[in-house]
Amino acid sequence: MDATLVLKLTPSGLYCEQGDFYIDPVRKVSRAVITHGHSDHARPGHGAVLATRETLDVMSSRYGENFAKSSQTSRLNETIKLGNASITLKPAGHVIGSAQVVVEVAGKRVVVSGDYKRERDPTCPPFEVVPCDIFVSEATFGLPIFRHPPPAQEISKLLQSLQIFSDRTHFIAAYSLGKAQRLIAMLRLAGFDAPIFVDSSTAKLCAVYEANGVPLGALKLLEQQSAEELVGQIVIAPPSARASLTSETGPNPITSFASGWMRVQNRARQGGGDLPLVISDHADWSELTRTAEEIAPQELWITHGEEKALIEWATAKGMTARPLSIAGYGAEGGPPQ
Amino acid sequence: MNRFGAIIEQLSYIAEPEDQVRLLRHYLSTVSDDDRAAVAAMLSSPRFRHVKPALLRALIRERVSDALYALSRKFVGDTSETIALLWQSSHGTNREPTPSGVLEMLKSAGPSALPKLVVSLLDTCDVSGRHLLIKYLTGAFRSPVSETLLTDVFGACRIPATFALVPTGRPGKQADLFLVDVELNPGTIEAVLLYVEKGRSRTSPLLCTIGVWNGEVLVPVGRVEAGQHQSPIEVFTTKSAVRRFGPATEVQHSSVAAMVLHVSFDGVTTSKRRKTGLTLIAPRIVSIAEGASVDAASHVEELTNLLPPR
Repeated sequence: MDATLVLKLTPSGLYCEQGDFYIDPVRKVSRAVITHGHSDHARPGHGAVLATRETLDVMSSRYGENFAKSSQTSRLNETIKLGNASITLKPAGHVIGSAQVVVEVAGKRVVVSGDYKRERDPTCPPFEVVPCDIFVSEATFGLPIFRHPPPAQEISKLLQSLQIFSDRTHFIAAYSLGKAQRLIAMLRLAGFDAPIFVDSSTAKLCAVYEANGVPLGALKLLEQQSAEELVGQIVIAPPSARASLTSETGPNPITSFASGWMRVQNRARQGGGDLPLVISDHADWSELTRTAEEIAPQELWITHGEEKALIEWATAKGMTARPLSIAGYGAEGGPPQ
Repeated sequence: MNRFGAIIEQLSYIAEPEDQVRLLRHYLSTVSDDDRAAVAAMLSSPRFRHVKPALLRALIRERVSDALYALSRKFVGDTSETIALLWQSSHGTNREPTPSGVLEMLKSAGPSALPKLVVSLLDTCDVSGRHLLIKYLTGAFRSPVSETLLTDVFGACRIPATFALVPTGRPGKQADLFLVDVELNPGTIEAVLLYVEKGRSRTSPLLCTIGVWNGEVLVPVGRVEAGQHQSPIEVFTTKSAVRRFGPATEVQHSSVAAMVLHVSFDGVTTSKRRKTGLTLIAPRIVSIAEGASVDAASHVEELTNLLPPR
């Protein structure tokens, strides 16, 4: 069998005919394998859903227990037969529960990375390189300008600002799944042990992390605090929660946005606030290229993001690479709107 | 240079001027006296063109393919930043230099050594350090902190310019990078707005070509960014457009309608590109002379007197 026939691109997303399932479908389907809990990859309303326990926990925390008609847990590294195909979930290092999907049909192997990164993350196990015939890679930061700085350096930037502006609330805008918890965990690793204030949507997902064995230290609900209590404290919440911080009496907060897009100044000026932090849960250019080189697949398929440069690079290296534009990804990984 | 670069970047994002002052003061409290002086010199005055952008473009072309450069440049929207982001520091090179170290090296490097020095400086710095260096070396660096606030921070005395670097000769060749001592005569003039040009990207400031009287005619003597006077200049440009030349719009500059600007500068230098044979070094708009007539503008002789002696 030709490896290129294992998965095909349909309007609903990547489909495996031999196993009759979709991977991260963008429309409601009868059988879906979900790589991770971000809303552009994990949508409610499918028939049967297969994912890691953590991803299923995230979906049920976000969409309620009836997010799908039925769900099945797969442990990492466990191989499950689906029709004539078998699938194995491997760690992707993106957010809690995130997995690459290894699909095998008649001795051919295709790996769908989902979103991934190689940088260490205290909240999830590291990405694992799986040799394969076709590697389906994300390319959110697929331009050579994107080389994320060491995350510890960005965290110390934040802690230093907290020292200089100790009389100000530090409001960090971050996605409520993944980025928020990683920031909290990294602050704890850096020795910051004061309570961190989160909004209720972030708090719900923090509870999923805690329940799955990722300690986050003392957290307090943003909604229950007065402006005075927040002075000199760190608040982590989605950008929309910034509005709740306006106070007629207290000083303006120092605002920050934590995202890989903050590396580029014109992006940082459009919503990075006073202290843009370059912290990303997606592979940067060096990670994308290093991963492609390590796996050395017969073909590299590139889904969402800045795919042109990566294809240019791969072609120059003698690899076969092609874009696989899937409309609908990028809601949580994409540039700030 | 990396920390200074990071501070410059951070200062440019901070919304409140008093927060800028706090951050800058804190940074200065952590550096040596030499670095404080170097930082003051780089922030306040003067700004020159040590290195031509063409050299940097040639250097990055040796390191990144044209296709990847083009995609990157398009995304970033700024050449200096693109080069800073694309450049890979090489491991095992020297320690990154301090601001005073950079100024010392630039001062002592001869013209032929300059391209090599640029490479080694970029190799040792991180993205923030490289971005600041590239802007500074090509004369594109502008302090993110206003002059008034800088005076607050560094005290009323301006740091004297002890040396300056300017390019001479024909453009476009590496050998044209010369290091010369120039005498700076800062001053102020009343200049008339002649042309207004949109910046390269949506966010970059308007570029204003300004002129002074040479006998009976107004002649251009330099280009200045609109900066904080962007919106009144934009309004005037829309209202008083005469004609367009590509990206540039000629505006009225007659007794009927004209915009007169109070402009300060770090010095005057000779320029073959200008009809007057001179151009302003680091001009900046201090204020708009509201209601001033075009007759109130300065005369070119005031500037000729400030040219350094040959």
